[in-house]
Amino acid sequence: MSNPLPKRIIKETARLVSDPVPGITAVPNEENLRHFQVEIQGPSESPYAGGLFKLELYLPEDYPMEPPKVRFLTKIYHPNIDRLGRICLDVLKNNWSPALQIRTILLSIQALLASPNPHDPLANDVAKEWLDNESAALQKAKECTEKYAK
Amino acid sequence: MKVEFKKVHCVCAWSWDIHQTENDLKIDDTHESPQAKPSNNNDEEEDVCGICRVTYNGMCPNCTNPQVPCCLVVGECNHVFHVHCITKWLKQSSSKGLCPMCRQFFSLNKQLVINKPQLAAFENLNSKKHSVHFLLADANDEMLLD
Repeated sequence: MSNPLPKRIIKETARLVSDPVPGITAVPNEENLRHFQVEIQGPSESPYAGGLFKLELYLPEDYPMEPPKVRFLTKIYHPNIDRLGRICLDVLKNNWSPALQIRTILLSIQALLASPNPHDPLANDVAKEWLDNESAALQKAKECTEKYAK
Repeated sequence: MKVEFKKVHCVCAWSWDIHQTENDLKIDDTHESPQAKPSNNNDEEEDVCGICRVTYNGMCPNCTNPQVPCCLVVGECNHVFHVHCITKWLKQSSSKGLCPMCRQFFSLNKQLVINKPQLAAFENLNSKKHSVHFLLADANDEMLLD
């Protein structure tokens, strides 16, 4: 990793700090400026409201040709996020475009918290619960937020 | 007072002036455009490459040799990129040949002078993609026959 940090990453980082997205903070790791510590506030009117979710984001060598790698560190009960914190989101995989940025990706993740999609699950057991008994699933998500995201 | 010029150094500077309306850059662009530049002077977002976010005039991070000019290309969809950036993207299979900004199939606007030197290279890019596509289709057919 002797390559200098591309200008685009420097610009994006500066803007994330000077003009942060509401409810989201992203701070680069001093030892590796491609590695970010992210915190996302659970959207209000969702079972994640009041919670603060920690994530890690890594910009691969080929970024922005390749999407950033993002993972939840905080345990969360969500049909599109599995036990290991991996996220099922189209823009992080086959719908990535180099016109997207760190901030737009984090906004998409925040939106995913506000509207879970149990029809395209990553955590199958959670998605099943979500479809079979939504109120129970929402309750579990709330309890999980209380327990792990506070 | 008498002034005597001993030496004159000529210096010139140039910059890309990308107009957003199609008529501005037609091939038969012999006339000087009567109205001055459209006002995009302070809007930084307006004149950076949508991929690397370096200004149109700047060298993109995919430039390998300062001797090779970092040209711009304009798509049918009117989105502008450094030729190095968009070529690198379109060569990846994950791009599916789409414009990063609007996700339409990316092809050069053939009417524009600025695209002219790049047309052949982009034709080549597209035809390669198609031949890969056909090969895959053939392979699938064969598998179905088996």
